[in-house]
Amino acid sequence: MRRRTFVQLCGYTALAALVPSLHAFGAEAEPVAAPRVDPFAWKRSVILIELRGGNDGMNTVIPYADRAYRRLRPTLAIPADQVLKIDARLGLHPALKALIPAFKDGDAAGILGLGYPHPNRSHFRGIDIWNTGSNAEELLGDGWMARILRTVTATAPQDRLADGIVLGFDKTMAYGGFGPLLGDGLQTIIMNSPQEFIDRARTVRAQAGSAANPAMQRILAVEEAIQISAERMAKLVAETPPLRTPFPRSALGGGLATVARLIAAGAVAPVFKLAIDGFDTHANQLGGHAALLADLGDSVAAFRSAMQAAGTWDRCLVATYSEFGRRAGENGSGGTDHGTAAPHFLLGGKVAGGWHGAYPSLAKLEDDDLAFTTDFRQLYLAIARQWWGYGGEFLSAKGLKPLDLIRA
Amino acid sequence: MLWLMSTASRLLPLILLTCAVRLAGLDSGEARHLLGRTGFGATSAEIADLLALTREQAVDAILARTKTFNRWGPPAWCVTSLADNAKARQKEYDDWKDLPQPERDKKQQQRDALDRARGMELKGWWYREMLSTDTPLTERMVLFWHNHFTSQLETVRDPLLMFEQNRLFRAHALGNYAALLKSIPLDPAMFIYLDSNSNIADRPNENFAREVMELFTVGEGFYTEKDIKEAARSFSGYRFDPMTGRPVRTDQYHDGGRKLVLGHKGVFDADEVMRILLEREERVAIHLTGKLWKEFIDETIDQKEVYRLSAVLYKASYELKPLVRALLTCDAFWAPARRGSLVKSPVELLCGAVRTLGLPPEPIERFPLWGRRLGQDVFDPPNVKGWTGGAAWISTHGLLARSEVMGELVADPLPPATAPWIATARAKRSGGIEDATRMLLPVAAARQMDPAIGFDRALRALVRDPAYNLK
Repeated sequence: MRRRTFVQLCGYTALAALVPSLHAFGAEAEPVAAPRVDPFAWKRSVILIELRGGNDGMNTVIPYADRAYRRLRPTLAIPADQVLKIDARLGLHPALKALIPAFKDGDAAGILGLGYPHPNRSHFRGIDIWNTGSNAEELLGDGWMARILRTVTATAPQDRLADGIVLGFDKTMAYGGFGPLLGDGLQTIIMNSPQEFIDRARTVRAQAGSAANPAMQRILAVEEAIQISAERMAKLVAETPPLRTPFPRSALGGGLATVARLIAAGAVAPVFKLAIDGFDTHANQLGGHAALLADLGDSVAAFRSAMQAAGTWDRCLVATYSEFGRRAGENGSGGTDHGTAAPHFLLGGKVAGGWHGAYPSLAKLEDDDLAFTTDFRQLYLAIARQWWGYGGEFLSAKGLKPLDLIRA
Repeated sequence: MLWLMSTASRLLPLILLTCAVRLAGLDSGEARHLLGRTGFGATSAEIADLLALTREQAVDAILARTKTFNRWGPPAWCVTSLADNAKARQKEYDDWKDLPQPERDKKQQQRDALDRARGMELKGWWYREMLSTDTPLTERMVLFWHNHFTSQLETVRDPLLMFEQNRLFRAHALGNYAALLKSIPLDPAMFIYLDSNSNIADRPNENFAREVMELFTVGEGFYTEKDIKEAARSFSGYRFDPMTGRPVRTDQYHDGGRKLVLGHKGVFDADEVMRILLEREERVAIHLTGKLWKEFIDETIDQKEVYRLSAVLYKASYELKPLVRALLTCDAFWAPARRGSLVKSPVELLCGAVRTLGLPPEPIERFPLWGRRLGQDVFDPPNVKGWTGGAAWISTHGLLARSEVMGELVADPLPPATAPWIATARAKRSGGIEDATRMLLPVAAARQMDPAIGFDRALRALVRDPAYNLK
């Protein structure tokens, strides 16, 4: 009956007596965050577009006037006469020509040099960091938007359709798509189309009945929430004729057409999330990258037209993001490898248009990579504070200042 | 009169014995409760095995059956040593590094595709194990440890390392937590997953140390950032040894100085810092006991009971069986309010349905895909904190997917060869559907059912009833 040595060293009860504070049972209880009372702009939506694979920022917002650009990209540089020049230094890839009117009208912004210290070049860790808003050396469980929405969901208006809607239901990776919305306690819908969601919701039609226990209560409550969302969705779609604006016949175009129709119908959902795949351009990227950018530009431009026609462009904030940018210099396969900092776009009726932040210097690369100039979480802070009017803390990194991206 | 009395006295022992058995032996509802909470559903054979036993005997029988090794041989490519695997991968790297980039990229893409295919094969193998094991509790504990010491295949990339980690969890499934915890810093998959290779003395990476504190030992709120930094120093300087394929401590990169972790001073390395936490911090036992309480009893922790039970773990020098036995025999576990009060995980939902209904496990590849659709992609948890589990499984998407997947798994009509109880119930003129309801649902069905729809369709409705999500 000999106890092992380490218990002899310090018996359990003796240890408890030595350290009385360990008896504080209350310490085990999870801290309850005080409910926030900020007014939250429920009627303003963020339309997130994830550029999956790591978009080549240098061939998206092009530093065409910099000689180093041509030197780093001997075969991939877009000739200066083809670049859609925004100012004397920077321009857009020609495939993004549909976005030029938004830039001219001042409701499109390019945020330059987004990144974070100690960048991670793995797809999975990279997107994890962008989804959660974590530091590079930190693993957070929940998405940054889920952390915000969870604290305000009690203040949601009666007619809320959902906290977040993910467009693109893929049976093989249903949960992978939640991104910044990943987290418990939210009403999050993932779907390909409203009709598909309405049809699926029929299979869980609950009957009124008494719940045996809290777990069953929760199931019945979520079933009811599904029914309510499905009914609202059906009503919104029934009351709104399909929009007249033509959208590209791509997955992104179709997804944005759905979002446009729901927002035009007055749907209340603070986040819509979409994705466009294929940006991991390691080889022969010129044609493929141009096609992806054309899809992005044309789809977003169609969305803007539809929202302007419906008078709801002021309720929309379209934001692109990606796990990383790509290496400054091209590789030997006519492509680019995983890199670091990159520019991203923000569009909407209330966006302070033009460039924000500084383009990373091509002369001062860090390990052949662009050095970030603006922390990506400054973009997140701007969305939280200026777009949603949310004052709560949701980032582990302290001392970051929001960019000024939204006009009052 | 005399005869009557003598008959009664002769019968008395028999009557008493019958009463005693009835009082002490589990009824089928209790047997189902115990099996559902410690395994994957409850087959009629498993229920029959427990009926004559007391609670303690039944729990002991389940614990006695646990194993430390897998039943099914793993995929053929798993039959190699970590050392040979490491050498083969190193050779690939050496062979490819001087190739022109397009060729090198192509080789790498082929390698990635092979690893992905093998990853799916590995997931199918584990499902086969869970679907057909004769010790479901062992596999439930393997799943518990996978969610406690999480690693993601998509980050680790090498499926052999995930297989080795799975084997480690099975070897210690109901063994000794101290031994398991001390193996973790040297587990190759974990080593890659939490960036331990880049934790070197003059540029520490705190990833692993943070998770040790938050998830594996004392738990959130019981350590400071300073403790993490000091612990990270203890874990620094371990590098992959190409000869063994395992991490080893290297003097060159290890910080050999004195550390101060949670008030304990010493020249700790990985093993030493784990030892000191296990010995000196009762929070380690409390934290793990709380997690097992949630796994087996209730989502809400009874602090006093967990504290009491944690002493069982500590006093047994972190042997797990005494703790699990104490959890499964305590009053809270058997309270009537606990029937169907926990939510099944997707893996439990799938494996439980197959086992209870006696459905064919083929094609096995469907199971990992279904699991992924339901939000539990085995070997690929969503992040380091693993699956939240419990009531969090019940989301808009989760409920829709559960209803759809169960509809695909349980066909109408059922395949010809299913569990024997199904044929018996189906053949009954009346009461067959009630039998199936008792067999499948821990609490009353939430949806009304018209018995006229027929037995097979009723069965399909039962596994899609909200109550089927509960255990």
